[in-house]
Amino acid sequence: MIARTFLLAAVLTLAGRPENPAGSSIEGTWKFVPAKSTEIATWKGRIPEMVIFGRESQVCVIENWLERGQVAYADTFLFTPGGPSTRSLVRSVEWPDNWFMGVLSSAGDERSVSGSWQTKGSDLRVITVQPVVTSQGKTSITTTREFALGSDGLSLTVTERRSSRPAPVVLVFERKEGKP
Amino acid sequence: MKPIPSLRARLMLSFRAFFAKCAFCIPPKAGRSPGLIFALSFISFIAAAAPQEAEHYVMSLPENWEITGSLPSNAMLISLQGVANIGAPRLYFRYPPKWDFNFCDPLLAYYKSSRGMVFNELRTPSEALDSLARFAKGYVVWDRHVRTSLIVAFTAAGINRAIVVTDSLIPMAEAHGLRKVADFRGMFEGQTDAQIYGWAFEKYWQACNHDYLVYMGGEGGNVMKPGIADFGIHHTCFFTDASTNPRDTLEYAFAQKVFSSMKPLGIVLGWHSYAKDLEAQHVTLASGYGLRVEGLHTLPNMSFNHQIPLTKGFRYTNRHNVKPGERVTPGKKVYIACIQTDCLGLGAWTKPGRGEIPYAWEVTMNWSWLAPAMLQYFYDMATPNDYFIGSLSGPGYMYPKAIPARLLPAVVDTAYAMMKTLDLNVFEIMDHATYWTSDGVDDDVPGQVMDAYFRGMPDVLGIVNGYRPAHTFALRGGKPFISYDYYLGEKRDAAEAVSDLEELAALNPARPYFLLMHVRQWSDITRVKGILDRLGPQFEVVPLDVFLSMAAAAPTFRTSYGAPMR
Repeated sequence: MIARTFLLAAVLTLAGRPENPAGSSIEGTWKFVPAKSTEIATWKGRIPEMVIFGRESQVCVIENWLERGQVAYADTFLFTPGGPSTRSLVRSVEWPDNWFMGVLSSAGDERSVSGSWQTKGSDLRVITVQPVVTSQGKTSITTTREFALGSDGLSLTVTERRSSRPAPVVLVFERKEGKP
Repeated sequence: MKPIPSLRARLMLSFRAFFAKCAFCIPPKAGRSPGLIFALSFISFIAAAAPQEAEHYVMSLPENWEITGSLPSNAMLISLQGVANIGAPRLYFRYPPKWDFNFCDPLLAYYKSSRGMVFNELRTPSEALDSLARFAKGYVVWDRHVRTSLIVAFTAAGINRAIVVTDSLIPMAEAHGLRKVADFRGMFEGQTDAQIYGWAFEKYWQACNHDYLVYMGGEGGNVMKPGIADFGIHHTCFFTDASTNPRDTLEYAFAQKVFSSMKPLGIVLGWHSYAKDLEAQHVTLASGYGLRVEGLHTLPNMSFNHQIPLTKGFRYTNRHNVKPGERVTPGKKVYIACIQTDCLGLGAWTKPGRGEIPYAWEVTMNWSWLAPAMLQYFYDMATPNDYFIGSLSGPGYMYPKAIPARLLPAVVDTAYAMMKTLDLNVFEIMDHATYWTSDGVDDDVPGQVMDAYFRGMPDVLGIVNGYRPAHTFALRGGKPFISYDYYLGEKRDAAEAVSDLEELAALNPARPYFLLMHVRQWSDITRVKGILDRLGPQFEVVPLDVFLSMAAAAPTFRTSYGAPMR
């Protein structure tokens, strides 16, 4: 899955970047800043990293989960901004968002992803409907992720609102390359 | 503060010391009255015939455990403890505040109050040798440049009834009349641990106790914390920290060789090396030979605690909340039961808040015979809200999936017998036998393993499972098998923990919902209560036995099993 994602990344990057009036783009690789983020209980203590790229017709958001600096698990959200939701098969039982809760992804079931630009090139909304398994059986979680680029183009704030969770999870990232 | 012996104890010691001297030191001076000699001899005979009151000593150990720091001195003292405590409990250590096990001081106070024990304080290693070197038969020199030589020295010390020293401590040992019995200086230089342990095995294994093995693991490099070494020396154990990581082929093969040479259901004391392998690998390999792990390497004063009996008439009595056969009907609520795992005495027991909310505690069941009075301390201190459960997968720490099927019934039977002794009717299973191959989804057990436990433990109220959240749930003969649905890490932000629990309640909509929570041992109960108090009225914290009774009455969980180990 990871190899496929990287191939896709290469193709989409070469295809061109969306314009942004402020001159900076959400595209790039984003490094997690735990001190500015909600305290998270990730799978095996992994550290999230965001890779965002795409064009007007398609955007790809890859949430890498790093273990000792290496990608141990990658979650890919691919969609057409403003378009219909896309469906993909859940291949792993891992639910990387929270390892402390008795929740697994429902492998073999379909997940849907949709998204839209809130401000073209800088602010993005991604909605997923994820099938999960809990101790009482199967259910699903609808998660709305708001990606907001900082005014300096160097920081990214991702606000995750899960249908099942009373409070949002706020993840702050800084641009890995160090410049917009 | 130096403890002041009671007047009675001081008089007894003075009386015995004086008359013992009389008995052996009466000079055969011409003209001494035969009547006086007879009288003194008679009195000294009476003194000797009086019940022996052991002399107890206590000493504080420093915080530093570095080879280049206080480890040489500490290791010498712990080895002295091992040999001095042969025949009677004589030396007890107060370990420093940051030590893994934090009950040394409360247990010392308990021994004083419940057993009337009186302790003389020792302030320096030299003072300790002044009082106790007479119980040692010599010293073993270990090489400060070869860390593993200390581990081998512990083995040699047990066999030779010796203390372990570095070259700088030799003068002190000899000043106390001890002679050298082994010298490892320069002997292992340039050798791998596999080579060193191979040599030690050939040299010492036959003379060692095969019921116990000591894994002197834990911290690596310049640090070693050999709290369990006194017990290992006391019981003539073989010491090692050989890697149980299959990739370390030579050390792994050595570990297999030692494990396979032990007696069935033998005890692997101590802990794996943090520098070499994983806990899961260590316990998996030991379980594969039907051996039970009894941690940690830092478990303190066991040669002393081992010899303190229960008080007369004492029976282990649990704080049950459900009468046998009683059926508890749940409401339409989210029921939470909290279990603190990772061994009694490692965490919250001595911390604030105990007794304020219902809490279940894993009992380290082997303490019932390894250190009965120490376990009595926990039972005596228990509040009505402290409920004990049997653990962990067997009579000691084991992984069910790794235990050979032919050995599992004996493992379960032995554990169940201990549960009966300890008045326990809930058992806990944990399995990480596939930890490093499953990417973290490994806490589940197959149906046939679960059945083996229920078959062998017919009177249990239920069985709980996991460490991290697990996904095995079932009802067998009206008894629930329930896995943890939440792991409360000690560093988890309180507000996020509240959100986690509320989210679980949302994702499990049927009521009652039974939410079993594992509390990592470093969380004190005041913190846990603070989190639980923030939950809404649909939540209720209940004792574990009530929780299981209600789950049996209204099992809203989905039946699910783990896969067998490949």
